[in-house]
Amino acid sequence: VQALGEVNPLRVGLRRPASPLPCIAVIFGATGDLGKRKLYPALYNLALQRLLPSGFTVVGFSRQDLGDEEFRRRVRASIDEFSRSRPVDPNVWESFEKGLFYVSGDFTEGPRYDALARRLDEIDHERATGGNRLYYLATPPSFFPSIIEGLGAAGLGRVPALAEGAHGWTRVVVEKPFGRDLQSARELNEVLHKVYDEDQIYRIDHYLGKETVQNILVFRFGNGMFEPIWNRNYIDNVQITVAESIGVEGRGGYYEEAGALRDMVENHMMQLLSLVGMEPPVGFDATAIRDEKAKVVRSIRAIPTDAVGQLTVRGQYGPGSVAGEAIPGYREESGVDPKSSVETFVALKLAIDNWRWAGVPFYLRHGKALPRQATEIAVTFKEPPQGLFSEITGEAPEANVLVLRIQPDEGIELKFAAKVPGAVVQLREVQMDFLYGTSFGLQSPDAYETLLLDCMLGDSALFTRSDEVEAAWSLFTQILQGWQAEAKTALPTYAAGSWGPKAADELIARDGRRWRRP
Amino acid sequence: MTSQSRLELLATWTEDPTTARAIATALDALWLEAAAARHRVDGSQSQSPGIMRSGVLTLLAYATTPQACRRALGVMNDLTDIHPGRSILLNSQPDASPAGLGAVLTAYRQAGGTACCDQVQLSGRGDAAAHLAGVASWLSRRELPVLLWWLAEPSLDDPQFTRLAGVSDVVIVDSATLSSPLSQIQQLARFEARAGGRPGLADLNWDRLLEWRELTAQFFDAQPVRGCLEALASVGIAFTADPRGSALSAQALLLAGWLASCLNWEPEAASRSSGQTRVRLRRDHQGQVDLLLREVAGHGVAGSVVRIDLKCTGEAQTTSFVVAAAPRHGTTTAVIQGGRPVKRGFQFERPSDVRLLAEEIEALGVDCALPRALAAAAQIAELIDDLPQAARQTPK
Repeated sequence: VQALGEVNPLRVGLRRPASPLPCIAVIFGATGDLGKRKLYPALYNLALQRLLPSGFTVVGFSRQDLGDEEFRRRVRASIDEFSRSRPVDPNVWESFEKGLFYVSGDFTEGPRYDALARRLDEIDHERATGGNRLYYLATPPSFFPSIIEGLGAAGLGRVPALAEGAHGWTRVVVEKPFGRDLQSARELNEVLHKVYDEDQIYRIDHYLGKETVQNILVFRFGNGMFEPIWNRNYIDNVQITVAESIGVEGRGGYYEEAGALRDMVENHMMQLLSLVGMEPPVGFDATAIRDEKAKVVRSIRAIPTDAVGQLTVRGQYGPGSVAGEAIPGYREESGVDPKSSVETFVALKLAIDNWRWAGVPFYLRHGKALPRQATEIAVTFKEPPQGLFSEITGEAPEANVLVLRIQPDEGIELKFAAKVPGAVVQLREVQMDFLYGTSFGLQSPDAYETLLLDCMLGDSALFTRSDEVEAAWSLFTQILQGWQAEAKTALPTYAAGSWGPKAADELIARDGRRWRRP
Repeated sequence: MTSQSRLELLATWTEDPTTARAIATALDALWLEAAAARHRVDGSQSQSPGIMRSGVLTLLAYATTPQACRRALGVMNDLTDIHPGRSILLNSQPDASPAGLGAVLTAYRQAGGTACCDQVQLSGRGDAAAHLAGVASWLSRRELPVLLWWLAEPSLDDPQFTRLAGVSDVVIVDSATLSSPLSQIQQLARFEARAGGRPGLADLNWDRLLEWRELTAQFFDAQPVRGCLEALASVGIAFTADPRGSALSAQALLLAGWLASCLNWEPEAASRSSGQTRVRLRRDHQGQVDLLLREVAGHGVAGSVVRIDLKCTGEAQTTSFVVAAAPRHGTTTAVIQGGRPVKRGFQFERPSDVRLLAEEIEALGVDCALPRALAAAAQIAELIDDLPQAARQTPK
């Protein structure tokens, strides 16, 4: 009770995540695919788990001319179709839908933001949301600057420190892609910082909301046995693979603008790399974790334009088949230029120039239309200093490999050598396997549920900071420029259903290694 | 979380009478046999990981009736699917003959997975019943936590309870089974205080209050509303009447104890009339809080809390907070200074034993709120218990 001002005494010892303060979530691009597939189902599921407070409100903002009722009907339909908990509970829905409102307007029209501000004030009063606002930019990135400027001009930006108690908090969530290159990322950061402070900005990367990705931190820093060997003295190389078995499947238009590097490597794979490579944070808080992540990204050695050809490989899938099903070539997909030179496969060799990782190559590989879907981080350890058994068996045992499987079959696998029972000394590789599904028979929350809740609670640990984004773009912009310089060279292709272009195998073979087959 | 077990049977073994050593040997043999069978199926060249025994705990379930044994087995199967480990059913039959120990061993594999686990059903008849704790200790997985789920009415006078608690890291009881909640809540509080966390005490009835605590706490998350906690003047807790005739519910006492411990309220006086108990509590800074515990007719499990009303006074306009639950759904209602009621509907289902035990396994008996709530509930219970039957004091 003494701490009434700071802590709710009834929360002490509650085995439940804290629920956020009442707030209004304004979704820009409310009628779009992201809202339909991810955001509304995630918010509904949070409501179902009683993790949203009374008075929680969603205001949809989009160009389509809809009323509140039609918006509610659409949100209900999206939950019916995409929620992990179905059918919709009528009792929970009844309260949830009372908090759904809609404001229509063009993202570039200033007066609509004034109208939005007035509506938000009304709702604040009606639903006691205390002035707490979350603005979610779920639109194509070309609208981000207009929306941010519109919010700023309508007084919906940063809250003066003195007025914070009276006006609650304001946060803005920015979806990926965050820029197309270093310059555009910097420009977007500048636009954001004119209206919001950095601690109000939540750059979302849904990979960080995945349980298995968060488990990397627990695995590394919650166990005493791994961290002492997590360095150049014991680790030979790290391979990060994000393999997709599907092609672009109707997203040709988007993919033509993005490509594999922007779509997956610059964001999701860099998150995996930074979590694997970071130093132990001084605390489990947003600043400490993001400091270390940004540091490791900054430590990645830049790839000069003229070295892009030696350290990177890109490819584009041609016709083929995956799991017995025919897949058309990328250039035959709808929305794709028949002469497109956009990459659907990327392989990279990165070096991290710090004491922990000096000399340990990080191989990254991502592609579409590969033989199977697999996201994993494979840490290969160095061989024992003495080949004790190779003299007896005539062959050296394979190196130990620790695999952090992100999806599917989420878990951790350790490969090591064991003696085959019998009179003769014979070694065989065996696996120790930890499967999330069998050790915890619990359903994991969707990544968006985790991240939306964190944002409402003001925990930015799983969101990307501006310096980290810019450090990543600094690296990848040079690669993009290198590729542009060699654009006249024919893009290597690979058959759908294969593990990528031959050049990718050559990239790693030059170091005397080979890619894992996950 | 599953409600139906997804376990595949790998092998079984039965012996009666038997010994702890014989059971341990049989368990090892059972796994060797299961692994050999797997190799025969997979072939000698297989790279499959073979049999992989998983374990995060040993769960002991103590039961004394056939119904309790059936309940325990059902829950243990489902639970093993979520938290693999060794589960041991201890069926105590001190009055049965001939005296001796019977055992049924079963090895399982999670369907679709590779992780395997085992279950031991022990029946201790006659004198052997007194040795169940020793057998359980012999068979518990090394270096893994041992959780005792006590399916009978917990009694500190029962030597079996003391013995089994002595070999466990966490003792899980269900205070809903208490036939005399006023005195037995005090007993449990004494046990918890004496044990000091070794073993830890968990109570499924307390766990069932989690949603009530969460929903009540949510009212006061917003800073401007939090001040209302200091102005609370009355608390009403309604619970379903117990057909056995107990006038108070352990769950209602625990909920009251929780509020009192969180908000530093000290019980001062109590009175009882038919179906209602009034307790006056003193706030630590100033003023008092009137607590009304009342039983209501209705559906649901006897003794279950169905409504909590919190009211502030001292203001011209009403400020109140209500959580009310029906069997499947509930509503929270907040009225701040006479404003429009803010209502919210929620799903409300009595959590299954499997879910509650799974949560206890995850927490391993660590619950800093329970000891304090239990101690405060015991204080309230003592005050009510001390009331002379004839003289009924009305708090001023």
